[in-house]
Amino acid sequence: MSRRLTGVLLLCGLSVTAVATTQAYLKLGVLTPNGVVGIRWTRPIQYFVTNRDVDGVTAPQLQATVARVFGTWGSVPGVALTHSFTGFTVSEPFVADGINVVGFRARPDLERTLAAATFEINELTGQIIESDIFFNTAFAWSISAGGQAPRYDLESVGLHEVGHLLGLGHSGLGETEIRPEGGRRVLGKRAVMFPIAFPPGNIEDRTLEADDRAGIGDIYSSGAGSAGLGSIGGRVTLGGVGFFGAHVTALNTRTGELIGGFTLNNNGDFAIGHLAPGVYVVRAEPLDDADVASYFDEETTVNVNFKPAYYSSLVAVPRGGSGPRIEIKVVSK
Amino acid sequence: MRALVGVFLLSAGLVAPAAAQTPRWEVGIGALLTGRESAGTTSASVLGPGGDSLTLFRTTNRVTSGLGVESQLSLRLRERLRAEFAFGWVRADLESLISGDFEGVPDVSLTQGVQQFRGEVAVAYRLLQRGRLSAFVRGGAGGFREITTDQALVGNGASASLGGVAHVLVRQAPSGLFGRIALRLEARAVLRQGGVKFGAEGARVSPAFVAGLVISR
Repeated sequence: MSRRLTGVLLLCGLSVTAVATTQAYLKLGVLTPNGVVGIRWTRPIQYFVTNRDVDGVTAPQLQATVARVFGTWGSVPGVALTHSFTGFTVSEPFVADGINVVGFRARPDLERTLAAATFEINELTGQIIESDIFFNTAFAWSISAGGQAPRYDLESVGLHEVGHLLGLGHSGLGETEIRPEGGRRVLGKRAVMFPIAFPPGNIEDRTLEADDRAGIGDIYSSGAGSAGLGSIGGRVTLGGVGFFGAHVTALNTRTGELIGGFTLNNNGDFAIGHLAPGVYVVRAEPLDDADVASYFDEETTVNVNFKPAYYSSLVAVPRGGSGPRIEIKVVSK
Repeated sequence: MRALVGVFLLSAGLVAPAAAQTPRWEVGIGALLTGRESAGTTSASVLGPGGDSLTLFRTTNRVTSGLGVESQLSLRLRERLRAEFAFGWVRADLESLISGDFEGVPDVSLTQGVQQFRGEVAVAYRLLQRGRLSAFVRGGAGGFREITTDQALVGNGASASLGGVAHVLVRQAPSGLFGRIALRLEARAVLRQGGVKFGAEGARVSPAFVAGLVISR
């Protein structure tokens, strides 16, 4: 038994709807009879590339870009990924054919979706049957080393999509503003996995940020890779009651690195893992810089009606462990 | 420091002459006051589409002044030269002042308690002796261990110090363990590197003051 999970996104990259989540980063998961199972590749990722050239990018160039993107994720310290290009194919992405396909496809109906990833999952076991990534030819694409406005950078968007393919959901580390013509404009972001893309010509998202590295490490890190890292855990409460969907960030006062997480149950519990030992500032804020639907199931109730707040003390994160659980108290807007 | 020298000179004019040699050994204990250390600033920022940086909030970090105790063992090496071994404990706070929040959260100060255990080997050279007053210049090096009060973080570091010490003899009897007691006043500049990973990396300088009693033979 399987079911296809598709996602629709905003202006940027893709996304699969997060069916369910586990602690720490927003990771993609599926609800099975045995509970939530995180999406994770347990076998080598073998992928095909659709043999179709588009304006500015040939199929071999797309393949080379995808290989580079897998290499970027695989270069995160402690992360063990096995992936291989199987060959070019006439198969299209977004077709349930049992193979993983990456390719261009014309989807002018998805006018705000640059690209997307889909999964076919065994609902009983949570095992991945296949995953595809498509890049929408309704937009112009570039593989130029320095970026090429007004084209979107294939490597930047590809890095985001492959992040989804590997099991990551969206990051909340970004600030946006509503555009008069609709949609949102990115004022700034600190994660490749933020759901809204930089403008055409920008190549900043070719480089993973601390939040991205922590997320992929959380899913794929070997024991040795995460042995020296710690975590922060606790809950966010409003009037003494926990709630779902608060975005919690941890700032390392030494490095300036920001890593985020979410409260992922109605008790308001959160956990942020893969933190370098050190002293952190922890802040909770509403998830109001992108559509909530790009993070959670549409039926999920997310509270965005509260003011941002800091935890009342600095938080010490030990090597290989967690400090005391904390409670961040917020008030309504 | 200038004030301290002034005290030395004033004392020198009031007290009677004393022995030329410093004592063979001294042990002492006193209150240790450490000064505030700047630990730089850290910005929580995101990258804008033009490569510019958008600051979400800023932290101004420091280690607050602390209070503790320090004990010393001092041995005479030469007539004017002494070796000192000092061990101290201080309780202070790591403090971050949060400001400039992008979404308007009021400025707030966040802290985390920290304990510092310090050890130092130093040499002290007697510059002058006038009656009951002895004045030394003192330099030392050592190490320290910091532990956050929740015991989540431990960090080791190295330190060096340079300063001045004044001994004012308050009691001198011909015999007995407590026959010779002096007031010890010390001011020093301390250079520290390492410890708990907090704020900017690099060496930090702060003042430290000790006031206590020493007994000597």
